[in-house]
Amino acid sequence: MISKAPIVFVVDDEPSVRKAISRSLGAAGLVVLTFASAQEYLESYDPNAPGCLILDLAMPGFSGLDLQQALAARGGAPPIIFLSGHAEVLDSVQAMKRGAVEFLTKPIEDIMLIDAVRNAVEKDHIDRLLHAELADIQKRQGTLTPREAQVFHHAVAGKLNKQIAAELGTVEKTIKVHRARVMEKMRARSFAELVQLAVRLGITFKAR
Amino acid sequence: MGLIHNVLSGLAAIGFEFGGSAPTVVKPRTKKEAGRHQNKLSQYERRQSERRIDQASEAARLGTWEWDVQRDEFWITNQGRALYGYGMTERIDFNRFLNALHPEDRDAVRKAVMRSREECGNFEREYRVVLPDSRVRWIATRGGVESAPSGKTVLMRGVSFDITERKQADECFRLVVESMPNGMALLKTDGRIILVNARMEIDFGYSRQELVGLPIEMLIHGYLHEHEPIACGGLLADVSAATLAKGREAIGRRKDGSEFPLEFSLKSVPASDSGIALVTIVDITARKRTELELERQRNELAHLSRVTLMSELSGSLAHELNQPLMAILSNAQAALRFLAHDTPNLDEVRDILIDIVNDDRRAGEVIRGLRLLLKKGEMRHESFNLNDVVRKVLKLMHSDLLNAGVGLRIKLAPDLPTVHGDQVQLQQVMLNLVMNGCEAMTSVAKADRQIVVTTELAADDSIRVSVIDNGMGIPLGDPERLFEPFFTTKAEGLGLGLAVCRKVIAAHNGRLWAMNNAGRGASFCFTVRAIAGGAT
Repeated sequence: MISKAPIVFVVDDEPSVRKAISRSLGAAGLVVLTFASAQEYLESYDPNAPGCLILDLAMPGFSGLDLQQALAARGGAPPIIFLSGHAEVLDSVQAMKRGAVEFLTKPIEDIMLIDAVRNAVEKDHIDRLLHAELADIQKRQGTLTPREAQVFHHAVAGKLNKQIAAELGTVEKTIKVHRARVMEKMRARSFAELVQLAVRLGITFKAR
Repeated sequence: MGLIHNVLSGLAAIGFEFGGSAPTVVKPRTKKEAGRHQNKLSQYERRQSERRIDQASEAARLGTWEWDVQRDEFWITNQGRALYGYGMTERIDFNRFLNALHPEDRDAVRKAVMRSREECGNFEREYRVVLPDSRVRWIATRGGVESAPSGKTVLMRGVSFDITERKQADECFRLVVESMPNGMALLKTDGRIILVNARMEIDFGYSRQELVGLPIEMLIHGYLHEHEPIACGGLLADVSAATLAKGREAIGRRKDGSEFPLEFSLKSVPASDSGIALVTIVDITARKRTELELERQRNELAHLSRVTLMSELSGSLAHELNQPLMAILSNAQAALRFLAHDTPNLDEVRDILIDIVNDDRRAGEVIRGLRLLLKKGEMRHESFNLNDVVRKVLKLMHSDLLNAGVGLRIKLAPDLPTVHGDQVQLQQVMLNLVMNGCEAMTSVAKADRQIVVTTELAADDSIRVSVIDNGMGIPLGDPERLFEPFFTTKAEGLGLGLAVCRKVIAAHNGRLWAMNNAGRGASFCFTVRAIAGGAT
C-alpha cells in the first residue's frame, strides 16, 4: 500500500480556487483530487491513501478546523496544509497545535504551495513507513512468550543474565536460551538493535 | 378709548354736536324769547343734560369747553381746567389757551383753529400742554364751530382729554419696533416700502430715506435654492396666494450689491383699508453657517462610522479579495508551466485565461464596492431595487457570516417597486444591521446562529426590510436608546452605527426601528418609500 502514488486532496468551497489549485499542482506533476466541502471529503476518506490535504479554513457549515478535529478523532489524518483568506493568529495557532504541517495565506505562490505539498507528502510517506515498521515490530513482539517478554524487558534495561536469573528465580543458562530466542524473534542482529526496537515499542527502562 | 367714545356719542345724542354749521338743539343760555312754561321745561331738561354730561365727563376725565369767540372767553369745566393746569376761577382767553401749550405746538394749533373757523369745519388735534409744575401732558381735543348766518364764527365747543399714557405707550412701541433685532418694513399693495425700522438700515446698508419708496423686491432678491429673482410686485403676489405667515428663506441684497441669506415673513395689516403688509426680516447668515457646519459634521460622522465599519469588515474584505487573487495567481502560474512544455496545450491555457479574467473582474467588483462604501460624500439620488441592495451586501458579507458560523435565510419579495435614494448608504445600513445581528449571536451555540433577511411590500407604499437574528435580544429598557449616538454595547464600538443608520433611513423618508422577537433574538426593520408605479 505504501507503493501507491500520493494524492493531493484539496478541500475548498470556492470553485474557482479549487480549479486553479488543481491546475497549478497538476501542471507541476502532482495528482490532485478536489472536494467542495469537508463532508464530501469525509465521505470518500480512505486512511490508506497516501498524500496530503490542502484545507480551506473558512467554509460554510463544517470548517477546516472542524474537519481536522474529525479526522483526528478517527485516528490519524494525512498531513494538513491550511489555506486561509486572511491570517487569523488564533486559528493558525489552533491548527498548528493540532498537528497541521503548514498554515498558508491566500494568495500563495505555486512554488511555495508545491514545496509545502512535497514536504507534506514526504512526511506522510515517512509517517506511513514508520507506522508500517512499528506495526511489524509489534507483530514480532507479539510472538514472544510471556517469559521471553520478561527477559526482553530486563535485558534492554541493561541487566546481566545472572541478575535476571536471580530475579526470575531460575538459572543463568535458561536466561541465555530465552535471550537468544528473543533476539531471533525480534530479528535483532545485535543487542544495540534490540534496545532500539524496545525504544520504538515505547518500553521504559526501570533503572534500579 | 372705548369709554371716551361712549361719552362722545352720548354728547352727540343730547345735541352736543361737534360737526360744523348745523343749528344745534341746545339753545344759548342768554335767550329769553321762549315761553315761560317752555322755558321752565327746557331749563329742567338742560339741568338734567348738564348733570348727565358732567357725570359722564368726569368718568371719562373729559374737559368740556366752549369758546365764545366774540368775547374771547372760555367756559370750561373744572375737569378741563385741571387738564390744562388753569386756576379754578382764572379767566381764560385764546392767548391764555395758547400759552399753556408746549411752545413747539402753539403755532400749529393756532393755525388749525384758524382753519376750522374759516372752513367751519371740525377741529381735531393732539398737542402738548406744559403744566405749571413744568410737566408735559399730551391732550387730544375734538371740537366744532358754530357760525352766525353771516358766516362769522359765534363759538367753538368741544372736549379735551388726556392721552399722555397712550402717547407714551406709542412712543415706547415705536422705540421697541425701532430697536427690534429684526428688520421690519411696512409695504403698500404695490410692494413699495412706506416705513422701516433702524434694523433695515443696518441690514441693507440703505438710509431710511432711501428705503422709503423702494420696492421690497430690491431687498428680497430671490428665494433661497431658487435661481430666479423675484419680479417686481411678485413677493406680495406670492404671499397673497399662499397667505404666508410662516417664515420663508430668501436672498437679501444690500445697497452695495452683496447678498446674504434671510428669512422673511409677511402679514397683512388689517387696520388699514389700503392693504398694507408688514414684512419682518431676519438675517440668517449665522444660522446658515451653523447648518452648513452641522451638515459637514454629519458627513464626517457618517464617514467615521463607515471607516469603523470597514475596519470591522476588513477580515471579510481580505477574504473576498484573496479568493480571486489566489485563483488568479494559481491559474497564471499553471499556465506558465503549461506553456513551458514542448507542445503546450493552448486550449488549456485559453480556459485558464478566461478564468483569470473572470476572477479579476470579481476582485475589481469587491474593490469598487469597498471604495463606494468608504466614499465620503453627499447623498446620491438614483432609482434602484432594494432586493439588489440586500443581495449585494449579503454577498459582501458571505465570508463574515461563514467565519461567525451564522446561517443565512433570505426571503425577498418578487417584483418590488423601485425606490429612490442612495444605494450605497442603504447598503451601509444593511451591513450595519447584519453585522450587529452576527455580533448579537456570538454567545449562542453555533448550530442556532441564524439570520433571516426579508423584504416585503408594506401597507403605506413603502418597502420593509427586516433583519432578524437569533441572539441575546435587545437589553431591557427603551430600544430607542440603541439609536442614540455613542450608545454601544461593544468593547470596540463607537456607537455610531445605528445612529447614522437612522439618519440615512430618515433621509429616505423611511423609518428604522428595533424590537425583540417573540421567541429569541431581535429584529431590526426599516422602510423606504417606493416610487409610485415604479415596478422593476
